[in-house]
Parts: sequence; C-alpha cells; structure tokens
Amino acid sequence: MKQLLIVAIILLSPFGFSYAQISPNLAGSGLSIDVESDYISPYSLIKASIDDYSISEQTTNIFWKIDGETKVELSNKRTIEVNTKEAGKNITLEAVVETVGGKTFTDRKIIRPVYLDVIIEPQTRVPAFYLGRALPTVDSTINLVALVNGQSSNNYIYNWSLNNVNIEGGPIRGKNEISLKVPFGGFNIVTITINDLNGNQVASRSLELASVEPEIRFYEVNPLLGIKYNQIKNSLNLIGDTTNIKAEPYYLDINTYNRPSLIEWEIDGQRSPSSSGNPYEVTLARQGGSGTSRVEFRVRSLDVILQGAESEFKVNY
Amino acid sequence: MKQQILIISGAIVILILVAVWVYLLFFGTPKSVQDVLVKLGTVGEEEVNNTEENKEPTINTTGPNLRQLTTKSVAGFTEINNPDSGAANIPIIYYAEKGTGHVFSINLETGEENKISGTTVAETNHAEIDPNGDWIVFSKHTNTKNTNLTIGALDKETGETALEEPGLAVNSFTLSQDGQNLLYTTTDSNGLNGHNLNLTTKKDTIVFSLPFHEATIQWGNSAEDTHYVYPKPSYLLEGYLYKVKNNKIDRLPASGFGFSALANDKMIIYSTTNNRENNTSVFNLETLEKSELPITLLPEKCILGTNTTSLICAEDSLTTLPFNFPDEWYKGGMNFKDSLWLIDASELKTTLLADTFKQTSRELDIVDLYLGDSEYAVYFINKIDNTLWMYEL
Repeated sequence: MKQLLIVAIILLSPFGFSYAQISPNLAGSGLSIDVESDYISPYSLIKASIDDYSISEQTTNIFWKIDGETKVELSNKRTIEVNTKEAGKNITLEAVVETVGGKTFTDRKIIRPVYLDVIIEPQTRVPAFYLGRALPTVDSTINLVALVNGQSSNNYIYNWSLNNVNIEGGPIRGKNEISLKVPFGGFNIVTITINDLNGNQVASRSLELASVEPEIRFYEVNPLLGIKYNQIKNSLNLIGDTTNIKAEPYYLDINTYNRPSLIEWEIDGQRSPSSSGNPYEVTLARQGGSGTSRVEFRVRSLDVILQGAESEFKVNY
Repeated sequence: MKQQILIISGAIVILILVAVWVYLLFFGTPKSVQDVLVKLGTVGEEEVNNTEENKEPTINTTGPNLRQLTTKSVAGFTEINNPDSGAANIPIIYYAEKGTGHVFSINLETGEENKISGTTVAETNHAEIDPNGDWIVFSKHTNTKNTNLTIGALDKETGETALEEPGLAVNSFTLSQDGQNLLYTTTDSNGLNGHNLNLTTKKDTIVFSLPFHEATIQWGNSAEDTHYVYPKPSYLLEGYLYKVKNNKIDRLPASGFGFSALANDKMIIYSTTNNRENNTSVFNLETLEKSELPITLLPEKCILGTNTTSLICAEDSLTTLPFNFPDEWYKGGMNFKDSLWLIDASELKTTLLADTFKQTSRELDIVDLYLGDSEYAVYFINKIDNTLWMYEL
C-alpha cells in the first residue's frame, strides 16, 4: 500500500506544479530555462532562453524540444520565441545542452497560460451619455475585480498589494474584489497573486494605476432634445436669445460631485446663480446689443485639494 | 357729411375689433388645460393621429447611393420589410424622433414619409424599434447611469403608441431579432445582470451575470444567442473580451488599453491604444491567428454580420487620433469626417465604398451603423446632428 502511494506521488508529481504558470527548474541540473515574463497569457509570444552559467565546461550544442518534439530550426539558439496555446493548455519546453566533455545537461519547463484580468472600475463621475470608463483621480475610490480565465472562484486565494504594501493584511480566500483609495503620486503599482488551495501559484500580475486630474467640459442643453454631445470648446456663438449650458465634470470623485464644498458660475467675473436648480447648469440670456462674455465654472472639495476642476469659455452674442 | 363718415368709419373699426376679440375668445386659445398639457408632451398623452400627413415623396429615391433620410434628430431606427415592394424588395424605414418619440416611416421605394405614431414621449433620447414594427422602447435623457424605459406597442391603424412604464432602470438595452423580447442590463452590488423580458407575457428572466459593472455589450439576436461583453473602453485602462452564452462566460483572446471590439463566431476585430499607438487587430477564431489591419478602425463604427468575415466600417484616415483616444471622441471633443469602407478581415483588404465628404460636402461622424435583413442598404446616424442616412449597396 505504501509502495502504491509512493508510485502515485511520483506519477502525479508533474501535475503538482503544473498549475503554476511556469514550473520550477529541474533539481540538480546546471542548466536552467529562463522565461522572460512572469505573467503568461494564452496566444501570446514568449521568450525563453538558457542559462548555462553554472556549467563549467564549454557548451557545444543546444537543442530545444517543444511538447517533446525536437525543433531543428531552433538548434544552437540561446533564446527562442514560442507561441502559447489556449488558456490552461500546457506547453513543455525542454533544453538540452551538450558540452566538450561529452556531458549532457537538460532542463524542462512546463508553461501554463492563464488569463488573469484585473478590471479597474474607478468610482469617479462621468456623464450618463459618456461611453467610456471613468478614470481614477487622487484620493478617489477604485474597485478592482480579478478574473482567472473569465471566472471568479472561491477556491482561489487572492493576495492584493498596492505599492508593495499588502491591502488586506494578507491573502484571503475568494477575495477577488477590492476597493482602495488612489494615493498621491502618479506612479502606483497594484499587484495580485493568486494561489490555489494547495498553495500553488495560479498567476500573478502587476499593473500600473495611472491617475488623471478631474476636468470640466461644457455642453449645450436643449430642454426637449437633451444634451448636445459636441462639447463647447473655446467659444459659443449665441444664436437665439437664451441657451442652457451644462458643466460636466469628468473624473471628479462621486462624493465631491454630489456634495462639493465650492461650486460656482461666473460670467464676466461676476458670480451668477444657477437658474435651473441644478448647480451644474446655467441659463445664458442675451441682454441686448452684441459682444463677448467670459463664462467660468468651478467645483471643488476643500478637504481634498486635488478633487476639483475649473474651466471657462467665451460666448459671442 | 365729413363727421358722418368719421362716425361710420369709427363704428366699423370698433365692430371689426369686437369680431376679432370674439373670435380669439372662442377659437384662438386652447380649449382646456388638458390641451395645453398634450402640447407640452406629457408621457402617455396622445396627439392627433397624423398617419396621412404627407403623401408627396420627401426622399430622393433615384439619387446617389449616399442619401440623407431625415432632417429631424433620430433617436432610433430599423428596417421593415415592405410587402408592397416587388422583386426589388426595397424596404421601409421606421424611425423615432429624438425629443418627442414620434414615429415615422420612410418608404424607400416611393420616397414617402408618414407619421406612424404621434404619441409623445417627451425627452426621448434613444429608441429601439423591433424589425416587425410592433414594439418600440424609449429611454430618456438622464443625469445618472441608469435610465427608465418606456415600452410602447405601435398601433399602425390608429397611429398611436400604447405606452407602459415598467419601472426598469437599465444600463443598456435592445430588442431581440424576433421583436418579442427586450434584452437589457441592470446593476447591483455584485455586478451586471443581463435580463430577458418577454414583451407579451411580461416574464423577466436573468440571462447572465457578470462580476463587474461598467460594460459595453454587443447583444446577440436573442437571449439564447451569444453576447459579447467588454469593460467600457478608456485609453488608460485595460479591457478584455468575454463571450457570454447560456450564462457561461468565456474569455476570448483579445485585450488591451482603449479596448473596443466586435465579434462573431468566426472572428474578433478589436482596437487598442497600447503605448499611445492605435492599432486594429483581427483574431481569426478558426485559424487562431492574429493579424493587423492596414487601417485603424473603431469597432463601434463597424457592422459585422453573424457568419462572415466582411465588415462595413466608417473610418477617417485624415484625422490624427489624439493620445487619449477613444475617450476624447466619447466626450464630444473631436469629430470625424468618416468615409465608408468595405473590409475583408480574412484577406486584410479594404475597399472604399463612399467618400462621404466628397459626395455630400458634409462632415459625417458615423455611428449606429445598421444593415437590415434585405441588405438593400446600410443605414447610420450622423453623430454631429443625429440625422439618419443611408448608403444603398
């Protein structure tokens, strides 16, 4: 019985580490295969090279096998490029090095491509008509969702970190979603490592979390037809007697958008009350004659200095 | 004598003024408050049936292939089979007017435009009309990500739309190809749910659930069909393509920053802005090979059939794309001057169908490309003024 158990362990041992994206080097060999990327996705091109530094004798021949088949065209290449297959389908790379002394060294790597998607959903404000995703700004909240091959699983252990500081205090089973505040500084790195319940690494990725500044865009609003999607750039020609203008903040934290410390319209330097009940809208009316007026809008949180934006345009009437 | 003439003239003037006042009193003002409300377009109130409004041809049916169909802003449109058309099988277009929700038909054979429904759905922003012309679903202008839907049953005999507000706050919606089901998405704390609402029985079922909230959906023809989903694009965020069928989510081999895509069973065409460079790639799902298209496309400006590798796309090769594309275009900060192209994605060949600016002297920023069953024409909306256009194939 004990012998059977040992045989089973030996037979199944390759599968023990094959769930990791890249299997470890064969023990005891002076040769190793280095794979360039830590995260390997399906249908991607990866670079693999041999490291024979610890072999004392001169290398004479290098052979490569992919999935057990010798690739003649790759002979004597120290670095090769290999296309990965579909998600979860292993590729076995084998490098064989012969030396002047007639010795043969071998290393084998099993590569298992996995999709590890990290979907970032910043909780900043964009207009309802906007077809894109909101972007993160400093001190705003973002939600992150990790999916392995399109799935979330309670059988994985997720370890999230931001700028090398663990977010949840340590790995948590089934925790494929987290929320965090975007820190100051333009360069933030989120890292996620996913292990299975046996402790084998399924995949790991690091992503840059780039933040932007909030901005204001102006649009004309027709009471019946709604917002005119072409934004007002530097100036607006007032055709009729009145027009409604909406200031749409992009990427402002939702809390600041809903409860701004400061929100104001100014026309030619004079504060102008919003006429519609919506503080983000103003009605401009021709006062007779012709000329140009400067319209300014600003919205700001006084608690978080970078949560605010202002912009202006000219009205020709 | 002179005094008598003066008195008679004065009396005549007074009589005329009294007559005008009496006329205005009884005929010149609204009959009731209700009348005023109808004119303002309260939802559910019905206007006068106007189906016989115009019998004169209003559309040039013999003109060039590229034609403007409306001057009104259009909220939604579809192609309807024309039973009176002969072998040419020239269809009818139904469209809903932005702002009012009034529904019109354009007979592309005769050029005639008629009002199908004068029922007002105020502040209509978007509409979906089923290919049989029986149902229409409206969404209104909103300040939030979710919009309440109004479902209308079109009665072509009376020229009215029976409206119903089911209280659905949705993100995205469409009508199934058979016109009997409303496919829509809602969000909750767990993510996005895709629903199927049978418009007749009102039975509502969840078709799929996704663990994220902000998604662009390429709906299939029915609830059971394949739907393609990806997180909303942005040049600074990575997107990934998923295939959803029978509530099973499969990751497809397409991803990148600024990611948007169009897919069918044969291929994926997708755009990315990796490293501030805009690329359009094709992944052949049969050969599992990826290739680059010679032009940069936005898949949202393309139409792809269900079982083909040919696309019709709108593309503007003269406009330099900004570093923050497609975000800047979504914000309305830039417009395109698109032309229409036929693209063979398997051979990576492009053929110019129409240089729209050369033919019309108008800037067309093309969205909502649509090819009806008849394949008589491809239709689209000009994003700049929301007018409806067609290109006869």
